[in-house]
Amino acid sequence: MSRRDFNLRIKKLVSDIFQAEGLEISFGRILEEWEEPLGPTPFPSITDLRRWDHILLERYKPFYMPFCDLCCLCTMGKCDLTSGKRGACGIDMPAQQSRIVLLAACIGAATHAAHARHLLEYLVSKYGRDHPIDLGGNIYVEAPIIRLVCGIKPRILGDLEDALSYVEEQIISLLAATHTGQEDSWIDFESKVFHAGMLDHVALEIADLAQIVALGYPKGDPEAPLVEIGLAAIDQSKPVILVVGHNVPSAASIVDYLVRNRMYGAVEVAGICCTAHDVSRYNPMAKIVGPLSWQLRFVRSGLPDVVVVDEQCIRADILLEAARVKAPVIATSIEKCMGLPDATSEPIDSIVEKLVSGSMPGILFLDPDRVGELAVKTALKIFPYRQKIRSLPSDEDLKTLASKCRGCRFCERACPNNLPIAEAINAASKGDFNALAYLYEICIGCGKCEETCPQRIPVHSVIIQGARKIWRNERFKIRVGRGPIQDVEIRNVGRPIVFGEIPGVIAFVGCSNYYNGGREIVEIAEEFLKRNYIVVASGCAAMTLAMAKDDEGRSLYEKYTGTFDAGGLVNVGSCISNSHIAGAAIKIAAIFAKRNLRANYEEIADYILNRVGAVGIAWGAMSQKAAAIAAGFWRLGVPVIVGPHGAKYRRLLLGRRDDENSWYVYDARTGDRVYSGPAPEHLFVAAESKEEAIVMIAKLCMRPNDTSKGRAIKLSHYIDLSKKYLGCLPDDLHLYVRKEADIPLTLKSEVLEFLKSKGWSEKPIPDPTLLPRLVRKR
Amino acid sequence: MSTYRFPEPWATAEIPGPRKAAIIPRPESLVAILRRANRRLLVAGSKALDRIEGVDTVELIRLLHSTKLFTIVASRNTAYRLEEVGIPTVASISVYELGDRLRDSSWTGFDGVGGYDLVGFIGFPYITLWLVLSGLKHFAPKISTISLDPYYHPHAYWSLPNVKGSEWYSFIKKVADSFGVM
Ligand code: SF4
Ligand code: SF4
Ligand code: SF4
Repeated sequence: MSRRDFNLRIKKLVSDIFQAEGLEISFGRILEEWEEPLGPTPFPSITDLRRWDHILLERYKPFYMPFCDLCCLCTMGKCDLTSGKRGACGIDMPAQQSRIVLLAACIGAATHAAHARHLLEYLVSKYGRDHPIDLGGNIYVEAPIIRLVCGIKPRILGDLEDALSYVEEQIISLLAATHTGQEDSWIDFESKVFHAGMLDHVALEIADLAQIVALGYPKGDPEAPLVEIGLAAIDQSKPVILVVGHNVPSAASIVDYLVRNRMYGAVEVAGICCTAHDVSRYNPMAKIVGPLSWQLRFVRSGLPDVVVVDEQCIRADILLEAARVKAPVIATSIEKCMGLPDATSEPIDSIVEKLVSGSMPGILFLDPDRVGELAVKTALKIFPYRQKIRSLPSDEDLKTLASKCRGCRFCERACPNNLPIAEAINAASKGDFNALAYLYEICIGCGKCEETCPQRIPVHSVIIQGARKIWRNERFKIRVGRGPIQDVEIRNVGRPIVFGEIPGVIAFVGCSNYYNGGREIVEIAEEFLKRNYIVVASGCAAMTLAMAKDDEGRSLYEKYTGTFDAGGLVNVGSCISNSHIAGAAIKIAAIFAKRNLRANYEEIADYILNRVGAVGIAWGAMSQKAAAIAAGFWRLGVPVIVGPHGAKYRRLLLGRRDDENSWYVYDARTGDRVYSGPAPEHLFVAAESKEEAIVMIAKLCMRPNDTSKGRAIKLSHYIDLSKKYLGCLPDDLHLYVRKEADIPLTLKSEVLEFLKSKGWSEKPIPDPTLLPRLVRKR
Repeated sequence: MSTYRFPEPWATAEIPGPRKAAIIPRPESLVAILRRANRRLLVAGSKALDRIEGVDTVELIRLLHSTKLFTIVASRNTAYRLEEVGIPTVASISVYELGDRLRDSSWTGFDGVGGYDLVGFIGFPYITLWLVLSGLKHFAPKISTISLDPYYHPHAYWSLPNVKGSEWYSFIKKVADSFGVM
């Protein structure tokens, strides 16, 4: 029985017996009434939004690029699926690819759901089920995703449990659909991918909301404090505790212990990846080393005295790497036990002895509240013994190591970015480290080069040491994650966004698997900040945006305001804070346009797709979580652009601008089918270059609903950026001009001439929707 | 380099499966392949403006253009620069969008006349071309794809092997020469 069926049956029972209207029971809980009526899809089952998914997927068809010709998921395989062959179970390649995409999305959604579960259980045990969800006087729509998907309005921490149980149950069903002999159609696999993405967003919102209200993070504060980020921001004269991962309780416990014992300032707490974001939201004295790709270089620098890991995106060899620099590891999550003995019930002092003496390289310790004491005591005690540890090779060592290179280039063939390593190593053998410094800027710190080197040259360490002049000065400022967007901000920008006068909202999200270095996203972001787009950021991408300075030594966060407004740069926080980016799009529909939000997914997604010019950029996306986050945005009608490595997600969702039929919408006023132009053209696309991405972003911000004034502004950027980066007028310009009034005034004659060459004629501007039920005229 | 002339992917781990590209052993073989085709498309990638293996890739594209065999398209960041140096392109298009059109058997090409039976690729990041060629191998089985980069691409129908820059240059030069290019 689906949850919705259950919901409806009880509704009838309730009205029969109690004659109480407007009350509904779901899962034995009362769905409380508030000012909004309940929409059509509370707690949607896998198929409840299938119709919407199919509408999207008919327009944005997957282009599959299989990673492997085979399927090896059951013992009837391996099966060769090339050239239209089917496997022993009957599955074909498109279904197999979408099945793998679904598996990835399930892994991602499950990871966020488990993260939310750990966090929520911990916070409920510490602060109580009744701890209020109060985001302050400026945020009334506290949980836009949960309201939209589940139809509930959480008031206390305990209310989040209902939404989370729903997410967990649905993920199990989705995973079941990937079993041999279950789902067999690509379009339904893809619909399920969208469902996983939507669930993922619910989990994100639960997790971030819980930690914001319980741990006292900034509540949508545009002036959240600036904190330090970069290797040079870490004070080497003090003991250093490195926290890595995503789930904050252990890191927060370290901060608490230091504060309680008046030791803050005597010990450095430095974070990598999202735990770093969240610990700096908890206490802005914490420092951020950098994104996830900084793990190897920071551990190898020998600076961390203790490494505390929680969950997600932590290197599988971190214990090995930390042991090399004699830094003990404290594992704190059931998700990552690392083969270590469980010492949770042992006295702290005896564990400290074992870690400091080196008799144990690390331990599993599953009591977040006592991790602080353990980590700090260990760091203080081991610090004096670790002073002489220098893990990176010296200049002389560097030359000697480099001279062992025989130029085989196996390192380059293993390097995901195909970097010219051999040439740089050869130069280093002669004492010239400049080429190594170039590699440093683009290297993603994966270490694959070393694994393959027949001469056992520690290539990554050589690169890092060769670039020490750069990283010894890497010290920047980042604004800590502010969390949600305020309702009043939405009120201010809703109208200009929906009418197109603020040309777009651009979200830089995801990991740091960049093909060409992180500098590219700084350039992309600044191009749009200067043009008064709203730029938001989260996760590793938000960190990368901080890691460059202008001529006056300022990072983007120091140059641009943290307000959700034209020309603002908003760091929402960690990966789970992506919920506030989706939440902002939803709130535009709800607060500005006054659309019913509650359990009204399809209508809100249709609104966003057709009216809210938002685009996600996941330039270095690598994880399954990133896949799930992206999928949540697709279902919500927000297109996502990935960088070159992102194409390895195995398929893109591409529109065909040359297929006129794809781009008809209903005019909600008349019911007529009206050509709306390819806006947005794609739902998921990889860009081959920074230049292409920049122009693509401007294009994907256009929406059928843009007023002529708004479209003219958007077109002026699209044209200008196309000329600047691609050297020409966009060749599809005629598809985006509906009326002469859409043409930017300063470009009128040039554009008109182009339109003439294309046989262009004026078209109506619809009140656009893809849902026939939203047509008002009957 | 130990892998020259062997069908081994340049990126060591990019092993596809049972059907792998045939190596084009000699320039004459490529000449024969090109002569057999009716509608040939040459796609210049996002790295086509760079030196690849020490070779000026634009120079190789110019040689291929001079054969007058190809309709040329290029990645977005590349097309206008080719135009600037006198290599005309019929479209500037993302290689993924192009792949999406090529796998559509009803697509009538850039001139509206019909699809292409041979598509050559040059000037790409290895990972990008590897993926697009995979998409085409599976979903555009009637198209002969050729990797003209100096790296073996297993998902192509035909591919050059992993070769040194100098060998790459002379290979393409010989092909161009056989079509009477001076
Ligand atoms: S799941 Fe199907 S295609 Fe995959 S190995 Fe088993 S029989 Fe073959
Ligand atoms: S560590 Fe850097 S240089 Fe080495 S393979 Fe990875 S990206 Fe390439
Ligand atoms: S793999 Fe090792 S020996 Fe070979 S080129 Fe790279 S660094 Fe030199």
